Amino acid sequence: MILARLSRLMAAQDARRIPAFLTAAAVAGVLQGLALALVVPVLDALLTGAHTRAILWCAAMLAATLASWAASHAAALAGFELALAVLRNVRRQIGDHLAALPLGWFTPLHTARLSVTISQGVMQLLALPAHQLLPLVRAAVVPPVLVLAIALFDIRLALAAAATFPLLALVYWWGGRLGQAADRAVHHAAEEAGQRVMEYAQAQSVLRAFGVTQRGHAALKDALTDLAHASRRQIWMVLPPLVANSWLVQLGFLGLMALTALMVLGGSAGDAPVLIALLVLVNRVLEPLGDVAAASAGIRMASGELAHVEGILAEPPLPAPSRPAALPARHDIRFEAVRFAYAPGTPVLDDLDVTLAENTTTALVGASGAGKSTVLHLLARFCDVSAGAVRIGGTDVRDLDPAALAGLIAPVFQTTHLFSGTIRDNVLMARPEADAAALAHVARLARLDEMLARLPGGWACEVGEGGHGLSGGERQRVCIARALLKDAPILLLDEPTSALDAENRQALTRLLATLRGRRTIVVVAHQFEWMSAADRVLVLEGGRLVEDGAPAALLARGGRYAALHRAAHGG
Amino acid sequence: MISHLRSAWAALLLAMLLQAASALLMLAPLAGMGVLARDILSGAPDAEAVWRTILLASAGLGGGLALRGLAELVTHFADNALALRLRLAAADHMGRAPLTALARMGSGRIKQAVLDDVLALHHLIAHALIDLTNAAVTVLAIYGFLFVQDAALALVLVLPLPLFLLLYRRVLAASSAGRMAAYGTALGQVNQAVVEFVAGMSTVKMFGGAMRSHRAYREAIAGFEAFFTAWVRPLLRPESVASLIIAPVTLLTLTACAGTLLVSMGAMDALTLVSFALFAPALAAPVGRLVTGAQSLQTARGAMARLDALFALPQETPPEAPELPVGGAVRLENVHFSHNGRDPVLDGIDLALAPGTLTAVVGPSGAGKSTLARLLLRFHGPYEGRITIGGADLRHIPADALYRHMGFVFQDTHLLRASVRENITLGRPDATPAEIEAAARAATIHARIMALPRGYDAICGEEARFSGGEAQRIAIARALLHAPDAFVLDEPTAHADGAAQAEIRRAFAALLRRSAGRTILLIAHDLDLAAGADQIVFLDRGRIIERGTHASLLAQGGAYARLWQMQHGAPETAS
Repeated sequence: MILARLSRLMAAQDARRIPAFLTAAAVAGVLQGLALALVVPVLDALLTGAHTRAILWCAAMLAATLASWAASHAAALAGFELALAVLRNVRRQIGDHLAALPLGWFTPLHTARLSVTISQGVMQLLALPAHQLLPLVRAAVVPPVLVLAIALFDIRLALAAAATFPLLALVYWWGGRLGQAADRAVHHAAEEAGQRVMEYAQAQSVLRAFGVTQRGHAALKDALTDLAHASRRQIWMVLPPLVANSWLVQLGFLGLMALTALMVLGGSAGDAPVLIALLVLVNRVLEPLGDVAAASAGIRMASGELAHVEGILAEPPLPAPSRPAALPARHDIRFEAVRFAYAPGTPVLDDLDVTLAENTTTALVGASGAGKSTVLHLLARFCDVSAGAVRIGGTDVRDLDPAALAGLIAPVFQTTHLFSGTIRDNVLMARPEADAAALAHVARLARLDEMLARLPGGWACEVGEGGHGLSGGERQRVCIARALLKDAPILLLDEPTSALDAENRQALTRLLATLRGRRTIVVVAHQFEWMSAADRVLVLEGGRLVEDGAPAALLARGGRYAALHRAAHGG
Repeated sequence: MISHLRSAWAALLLAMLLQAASALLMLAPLAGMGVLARDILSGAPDAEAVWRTILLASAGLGGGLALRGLAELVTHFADNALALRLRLAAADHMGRAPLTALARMGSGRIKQAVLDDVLALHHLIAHALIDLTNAAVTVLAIYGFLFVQDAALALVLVLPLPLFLLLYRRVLAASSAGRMAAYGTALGQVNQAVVEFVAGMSTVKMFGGAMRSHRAYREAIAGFEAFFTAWVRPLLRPESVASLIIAPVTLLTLTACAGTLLVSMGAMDALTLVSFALFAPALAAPVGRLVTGAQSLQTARGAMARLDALFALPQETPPEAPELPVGGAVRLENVHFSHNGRDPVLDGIDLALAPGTLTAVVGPSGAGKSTLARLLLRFHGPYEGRITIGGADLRHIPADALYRHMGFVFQDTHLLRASVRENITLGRPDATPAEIEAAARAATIHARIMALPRGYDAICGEEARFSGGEAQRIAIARALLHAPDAFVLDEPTAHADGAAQAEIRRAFAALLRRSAGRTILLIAHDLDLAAGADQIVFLDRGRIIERGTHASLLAQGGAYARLWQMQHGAPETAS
């Protein structure tokens, strides 16, 4: 079962290694059991004084042992290759899946868990094929082989040994269940504590300024104390089954010893030398089972990580059309009775119904939380509408091939991200084949040229992790240049100049004016220069469209837009 | 760190003693089997003797298991208590370390130290020490017993050990502190790649083709894979062979073969060989645990080193001659500050804030405005010159007194994952609901909070997702409630993602109105806010180049006037 789950995390050609691994491990187990069993005839021969026979049996035992070595070694290597196959595949598979998930899925908590699962979690998962499967197979194969061998000499002893198996399995299962519950509690507490520690570290300045570090940050203290309590509960849950397991293994052993004694005393024992030799074997029957019990915590944790990975892969992606529609010929945008909510009951957009004509500039205006950014996100299909449809040139965005849709849109979003690398890498991302002239052109338009002259290395300047080597304004200009280089028919701008100083802002407002009438532009803006440069202004409030018209007309009407305008200009 | 460990030593010592006794007792069944074998072979076993043997074996086993359980309980509880103590101490230590040192360390590493590294100590304290004790006692006892039985065969059974250790040395060397650190770094890179990949997801979707989309992520995981494979693959064969050398089946076969030779040569009797056959395979597990225990010790050493680094962060010591601030006057006299000791960020600042006045600091970005503000809260240091708050030298004000006296609204608002109420009452946990609501109303955020299903009880970041502007207004409500004698306000630029500027500006204006009578230092990016100040200073490259009121500075026609015109497009007519 675990193997079937693991095989789903591998590429097909790698999954084919699993039967080979299993075969090697099973053969190793059988040979090991055989080698162990051969100690009975050896000892029997020695105890009865048949030394030559003993030497012959020894040779057989040695041969079986060496053969089991070869098989074990092969199985260990195969197990490691399985682990590598999982490593090769699982992170890539998660990555591909993530790229297909709606952006709404990436909440801070999901993201935090994700990076832990992909880094440490996957490594814990690897222990399963690399280290834990082999003992599991051994525990499944060796004891039955030994019981069969004992049965050859004494059926009662064999039956008694076999009788302990279900009991051990039961305790193992019980321990596993208790352990899982405790693990979950600890895991949960550890996540909470982890988030609190990060928060405590990151919010130090605020916490200090309000005297919280002096008083002690109660939330952190609580989280750490909860973690300690959960761990203590885990001790009580995990230790008893573990101890019970050793008890049972040893008790089974003692029971077999007592049975042997009974048989001897009752005179029903056959051959005394054989019986003595069997004692040695009886001693080995339960050992592999004990090993598995000792490794149970590791197996449990690895299975837990396996479940985490499966959980991520089971998140439903944004559905892709099976037969994508043709690229739209026009680029007008229609929101058709659009409703959207991240969670039921709290609508972000409520019945938005509006058409934006091709090659017009539309400004979205409204208080924070009014749903302006969501309008852009639905258009770029970062999420899907809850009801209604978003259409470009009459085609539902959900019917377009995702790559084709992305090709239609050039965005400058608040969340637009720069990747570690040079400024050139980041701009070229939009159109890798663009030549130097094209780059120079967008650099001029986005006011990048001033920055390139100033920054060390110019185009080759490293932007740092997430672009944080640059100031907010510099980052924004790189994003604008990138969007311009893409040269797509639809331009989406979400507060594209919020971090710029007055001078650059004015320059970019002029840029917007030059693009007017040549692209379908949707811009979210607080700056009134941008609004007045639009053909049309949509005012959103609580997810509803409350005003719609040309900026001058709205100003004259004296409604919300006019009020916002007044508030911004010295109210 | 070491002192914390010392507190657990007594418990650990007790556990190790319990474990050693347990290890000896646990050998009772094996010994019993040996006795039983002898009885059986003698032909006519005495029933009473046989049952006594079994009873003794059971008693030994029972006692051994009970002691082991006890030892595990002792270590686990000792570890549990130690972990909590260490973590709380680490948090406390962090709270007293200079912010710059903390920032250098990074929240990721701090989290690793406080949680993961303390967890690595768990393996040492709860498991490794008693495992090692168990393994060592068991191995020594068995070898001792076997040597007494038959030195020659016992010697043969010692043979696999050096071979095993030789092979395992390579495995141990590979898990040395240096290699483990490289592994940690490699894993950290994967972590970082995931974070970047997720942060850039929308960009990837819009700009990256399927091919290029997450190249960086793929490169990082491929790089890790290459590192990991190169690291582990050479160890695989020695590790596998090493484990086979001490496998029970190997030890049993070795015993049988060598024993058969000895018995047939007449150097040993067959019954002794039975004892060997019983005991020899029992060596396998403890020998294996000896090396895994050694490995845990190594891992724990690395974890301890990282924890030590956290505890080695310098501490802000309470001033020897504490001075308490009285009143709202703030003075900076010839203050110089530099982050690196070379490039001055503040270059001779002289500034007096009279009690109850509003001073606005304006200037281009990078002029040192925010540094000036943070200096007043001792977030940076050391500086040259003298700063006094309420007449007391900033260097001699105890931390709690300073933060009671000075309030701060930051550009980067940190809302904690706690209820809206707790976020607002951060500085004054005893505030009444009426006070909280009044503060929220003044910050124009009350209506937004009430629109949440659970209102003030909604948990920020979970039930309530605030935009940058809304978060800023909560921070303002927080500052209003805190209401100290002096305020430093670092006005957010609009880049606080999508702040509704008009609303923030209103909230800020409310804050200024409500704080009348308090001394306020306003770091202003928006000159409209600064225009109403009693005093405006223009900071450029760490120096004050202009100071005056709005009217006087406009009349002066200098840097301030130019900035004002740029923001307002046209020369100022009337205010």
